Amino acid sequence: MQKLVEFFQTAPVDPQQAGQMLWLIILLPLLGAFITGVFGKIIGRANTHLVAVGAVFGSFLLSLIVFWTINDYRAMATTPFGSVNYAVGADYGTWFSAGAFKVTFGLFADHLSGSMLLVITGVGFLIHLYSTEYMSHDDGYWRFFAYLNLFVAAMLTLVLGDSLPLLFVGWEGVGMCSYLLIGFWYTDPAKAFAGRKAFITNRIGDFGFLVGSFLMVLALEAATKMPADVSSKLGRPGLEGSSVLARLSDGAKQKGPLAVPVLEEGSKVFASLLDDTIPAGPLEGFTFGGVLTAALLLFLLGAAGKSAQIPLYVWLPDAMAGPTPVSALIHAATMVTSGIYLFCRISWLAVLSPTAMATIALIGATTALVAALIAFSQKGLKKVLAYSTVSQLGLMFLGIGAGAFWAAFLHVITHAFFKACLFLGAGSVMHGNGEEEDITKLGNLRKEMPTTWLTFLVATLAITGIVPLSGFFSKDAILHAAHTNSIPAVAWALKTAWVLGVVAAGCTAFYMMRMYFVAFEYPRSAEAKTPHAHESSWHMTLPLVVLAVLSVVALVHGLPIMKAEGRGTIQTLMENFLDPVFRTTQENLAKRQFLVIPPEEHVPWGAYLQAWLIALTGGGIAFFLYMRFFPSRKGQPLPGPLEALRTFSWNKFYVDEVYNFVIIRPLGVVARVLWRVVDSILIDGVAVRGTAWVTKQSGSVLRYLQTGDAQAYAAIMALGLAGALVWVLQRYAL
Amino acid sequence: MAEQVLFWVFAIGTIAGAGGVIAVRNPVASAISLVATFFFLAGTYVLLWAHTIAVIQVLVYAGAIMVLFLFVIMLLSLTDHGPIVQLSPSRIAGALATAALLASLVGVFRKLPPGDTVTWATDASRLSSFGTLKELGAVLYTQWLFPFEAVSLLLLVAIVGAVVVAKARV
Amino acid sequence: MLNTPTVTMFDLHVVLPAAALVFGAIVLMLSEVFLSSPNRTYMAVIALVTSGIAGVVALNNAFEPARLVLQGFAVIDPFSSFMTVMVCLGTGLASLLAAGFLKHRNAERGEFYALMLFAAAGMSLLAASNEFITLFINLEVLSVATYALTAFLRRGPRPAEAGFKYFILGAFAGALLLYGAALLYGATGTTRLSDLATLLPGAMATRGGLVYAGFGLVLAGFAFKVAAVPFHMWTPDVYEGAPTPVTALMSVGVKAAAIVAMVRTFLALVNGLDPQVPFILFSLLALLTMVGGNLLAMPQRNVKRMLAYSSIAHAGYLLLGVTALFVPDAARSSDAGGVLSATPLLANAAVNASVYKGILFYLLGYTVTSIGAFGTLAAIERREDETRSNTWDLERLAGLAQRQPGWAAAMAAFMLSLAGVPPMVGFLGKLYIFSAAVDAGLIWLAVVGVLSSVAGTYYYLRVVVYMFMRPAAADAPATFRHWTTEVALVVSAVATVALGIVPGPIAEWLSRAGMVFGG
Repeated sequence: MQKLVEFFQTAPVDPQQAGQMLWLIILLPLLGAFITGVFGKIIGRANTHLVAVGAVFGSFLLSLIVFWTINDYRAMATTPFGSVNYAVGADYGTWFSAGAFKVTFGLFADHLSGSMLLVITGVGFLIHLYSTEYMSHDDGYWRFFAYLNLFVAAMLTLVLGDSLPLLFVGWEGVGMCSYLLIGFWYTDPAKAFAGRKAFITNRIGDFGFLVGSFLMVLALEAATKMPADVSSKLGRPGLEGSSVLARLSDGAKQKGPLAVPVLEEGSKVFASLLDDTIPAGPLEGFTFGGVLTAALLLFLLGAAGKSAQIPLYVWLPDAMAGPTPVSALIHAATMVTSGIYLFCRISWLAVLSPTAMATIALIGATTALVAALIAFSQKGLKKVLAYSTVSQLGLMFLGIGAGAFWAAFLHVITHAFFKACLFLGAGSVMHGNGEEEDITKLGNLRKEMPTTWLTFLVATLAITGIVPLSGFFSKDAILHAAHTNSIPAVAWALKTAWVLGVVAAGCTAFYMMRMYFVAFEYPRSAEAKTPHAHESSWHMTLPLVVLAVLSVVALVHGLPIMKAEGRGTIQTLMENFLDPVFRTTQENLAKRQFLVIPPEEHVPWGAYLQAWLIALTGGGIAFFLYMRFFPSRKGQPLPGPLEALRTFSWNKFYVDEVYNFVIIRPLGVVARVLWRVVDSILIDGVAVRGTAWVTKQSGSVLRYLQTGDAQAYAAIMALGLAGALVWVLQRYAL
Repeated sequence: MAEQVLFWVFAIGTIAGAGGVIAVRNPVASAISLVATFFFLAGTYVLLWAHTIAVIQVLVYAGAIMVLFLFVIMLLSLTDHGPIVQLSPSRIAGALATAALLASLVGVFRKLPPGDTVTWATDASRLSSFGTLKELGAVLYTQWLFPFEAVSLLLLVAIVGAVVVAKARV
Repeated sequence: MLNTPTVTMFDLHVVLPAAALVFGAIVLMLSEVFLSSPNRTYMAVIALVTSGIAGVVALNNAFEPARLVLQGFAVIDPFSSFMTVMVCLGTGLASLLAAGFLKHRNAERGEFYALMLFAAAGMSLLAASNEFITLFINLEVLSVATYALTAFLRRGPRPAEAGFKYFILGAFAGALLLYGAALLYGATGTTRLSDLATLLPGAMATRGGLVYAGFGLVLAGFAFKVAAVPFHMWTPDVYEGAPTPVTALMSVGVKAAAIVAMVRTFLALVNGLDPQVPFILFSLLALLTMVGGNLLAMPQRNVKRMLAYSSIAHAGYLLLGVTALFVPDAARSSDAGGVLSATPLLANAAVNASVYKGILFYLLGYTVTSIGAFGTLAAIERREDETRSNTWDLERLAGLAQRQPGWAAAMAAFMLSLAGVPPMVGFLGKLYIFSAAVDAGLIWLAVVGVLSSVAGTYYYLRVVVYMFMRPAAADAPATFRHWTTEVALVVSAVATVALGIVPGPIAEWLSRAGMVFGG
């Protein structure tokens, strides 16, 4: 055992070299996108598949090497402030500089981005493989694979970039690919509209991100110019206060103010300056703490756009208009988690603002619950999964807000596995049932599609949080953290968020099991498009099996098997693994105490039991309602064993009514109100149509002046000139 | 005193001629008004001691260019084209703008300090050579060499451009 | 006896690029007489080679020290030399586009390329002019050449009408410029910009009105050439009517040369004036142009007109950069409020260097992007539709991704660059200009610029949507392909992306352009 651990902790390549080759990981899919996009039609379908899948697979192999390398304690990435353990990175030179502002091309892989690398390329590879079959009837295959490869490249840039601008390039890139892929079947106007909606809501988020970055630049600049009496309190063991600032300012000059290591160093400075007022410059008069909170809330807006949180979540359910593999890769496993990735990346800043942390937790928990409630009333396979994704992302944000960054990130990974498996399973179901996605028009899939059934069941149990599966551990870790941690400044926030999160978890179990029972266990529906479903080929089932296995195996990360250093006695594998990433976070936490995390002394059996009970209750109710009381539908003779239930038929009616009256109706109303208010009026009406309308109207008015008459043009020029001259002469000469 | 009188004659004549160009309906009459303007302008140049310019003005503009104008007008046999004064928003706006421009410029000129008076009696030596062909040539071919050569490029471009535009169909 | 000026070879460096261009033009016109080969692509090659040589010569000039040459009538400095390099780049690419375009229409003539080269020569000389009459003559050289080019193709009423309009309105604007120069001469007794700079403060005391009036008139003349609102009205009509490769050249070359001449002129003219006047006038121009250009582009379904309005908007961003040069010192920025207020963060000298770099880089980015965008449009334009009104309707671009994936990808890159999306070059250009403007204290104006450019993404992305997300019309004809067109598109697409990703060496070079003579 010891030998094995040692083997995996020995870098297979020189860490320096691994850092230098990081760009290859991005380049491969980019090349793939170029070849398939430009020559895809010429080289034919099979070659396109080979290039696209091969590119991602190559990238996956390289990511494995990198991941292996960063497990070695000797792997070090150099930053202007020393070196970082368990990481590799390289700086490929200046991208651009404008005045004091500079951005370098720096790539960086530590345990956080390394894990993301594996998820993106690994799950990406499986989904590419799956798509070769799924898109086998589509003429636009080359376009599809070009976008998909481009997406992978952009996502890798997002994760590997060591500065916020580079991250933003990936951020925009994934947004654009998502937009192109949602509208992939553009002949349908509704789908094109869905693409537009995703685009607009994401722009709102991007705006937040950009303004937030801008604030950070200004705040850093202000910090480096603080007077001597303030800088004295920045001293650290072995470092004078003024030299801390000098180092920060040098680093900002060398790497640019928005580079991650510079911001990290900056966060240590901010930690001591939060209550100080900025003496000069554009932010004059504000405190550093206030500016930081504002920036973090703006980043939250950006993350909410990308990761589908209230109030910007509405695009995600509509995004299901795209091909199913896209939903699996982009709208479940990778892109939508980039908001969580962002906050893990800048966690050292986040913990400096209790307001921002509480807001994140509350927004996450509310989103989790609202989305889960909406999922109750949905019928489409992909719609339910979409709302469930929103809900799970909400839980991850709750984890961030509760300070359990590792738990949120663990949930990102496990969710990537089981949700991708669910989406791909849904795709397989639709593929084998004539593109039917209404769960009430399916049925009996357990017998008809055995492989799909088994993998779907495993994934469903994983998301529900049944004991030995990975989802249980990650979800429990988040809820446990929300329960035990506290933000003293706003104590009620985490408590409320915890309650909301627990209810959401129960609801998740309910609607997921409902979907599973109706689609897989019910007898074949009379309204089904095909009398029998056909199981998909190995291109599609192999990824399903692999993902299902992964959703079980990933539980290892959630086991509390590591000995903690420093705080408490026990740690989960993931917490231990991510420890190097969050060292500065811990320092800042220890310094300001905005968030109290009680040390873990023993395995939290109580919390496990609680989480398990929640899952069982939710799932049990679903089973009770759908398998016991609700098994038949109109126009179908009941099979023999269920004959005994006839006595309860009135009761079934009653349950149906009660269910309808107590749950579905109000939820339907709530759901509809939410949909109407937020979605139709605010997003569709104001944001999407309103923007277009206002600009069109104003444009049209101006266009009346453009008559084509040269005399009129000359008259307008003369008017402009006369205006200027009269004004100037009136004022200064006459 | 004579200069004052002459100036007003020439100035009013120039403006009246220019007004005639745009106010007269008949194109030939319009062209003739332009000739008148050119002549009055040449007179103004003489008053400014710019004899050479005055002669060139008469030769080139009033002579060559106007003949060309008249040829074109007669070849195309242009006739009267509707009423001249048609009120449209753009014309009203243009008129207003022009009036405003005029007013502000007049205001500026009225506030100018009086210039130096140049008379034959005091500046004979300067004025005897000023504006002559010789003096003009010396300045043009030495000090103003660069713009002078640029003008040759302009003429070349104008000729090529005219040829291109005059082709029936490319 | 004659006061013969001393002109050395050193002085003539400034006219070398223009001389090369004129020589090429003459070769082209002679070839029309002596060579009667039916394949006339060689003409485009001659034009390309000529502009290449001129560009290299100009680049060489860019590394010489800034100084007055030719008795103060011209200036040689990195700012104008780099601008000439960009003009040559634009001319070369536009003549490549023209080869395929004219061949398709059976209209390849030596005069066409000759006029393009003449226009480029005019732009190069205009950028170097340091005296009002010289400046006016060179402005006319480039204007006359572009008037003729606009009316070159006589298909339907549009080109003739466009040429006429451009000529009439251009003459009007030229007259304003000349009148303004005359008033300034009246106030100071000189037309040389460097002398004006020293004499104006003295003249202000007695003839202030004359100076201000001249200032306004000259500004109006330049505003016409850079198509600033409200002097922009000719732009869409002329851009639409002109042959598309000519439109490409006009959108980059004329604008670039006029901006450089404008900067040079007004750096001299602001001496002695109340700094609020140039500041407020330029701010207003920039504000109106940025907002107006984007608003007018929005309802356009005609892509060529849309690009014309977009070029107005881009002129607005450039004017924002120019405004940053004329921000009054912190102590004197008092009475203007709201959007037109400024509190400089840095000293003027530091800001000016970054403004020059920003303007030049922006122009470089805009050159490759705009030529590419108009080039794609020229490539898909059908000869049969010339007289119809829907030639450049968005529908023509529908499904381009299926028909010509390479072209669609290139056009998408151009649109994203125009919209200012990273990592395209347009993003960096905007970043440089906006950050220089913020450094100069124009925070609110920069905010307006950013917001209006965000609004601009709407119409740029609509083009992308049509290309990638709309099916091609069933009767979409085969596109006419020509190798020169494709070379031009590949070069501009690669430049658009590559300059956005590695601006390094070129941006460093352009930093030298901080040396504007006397600036």
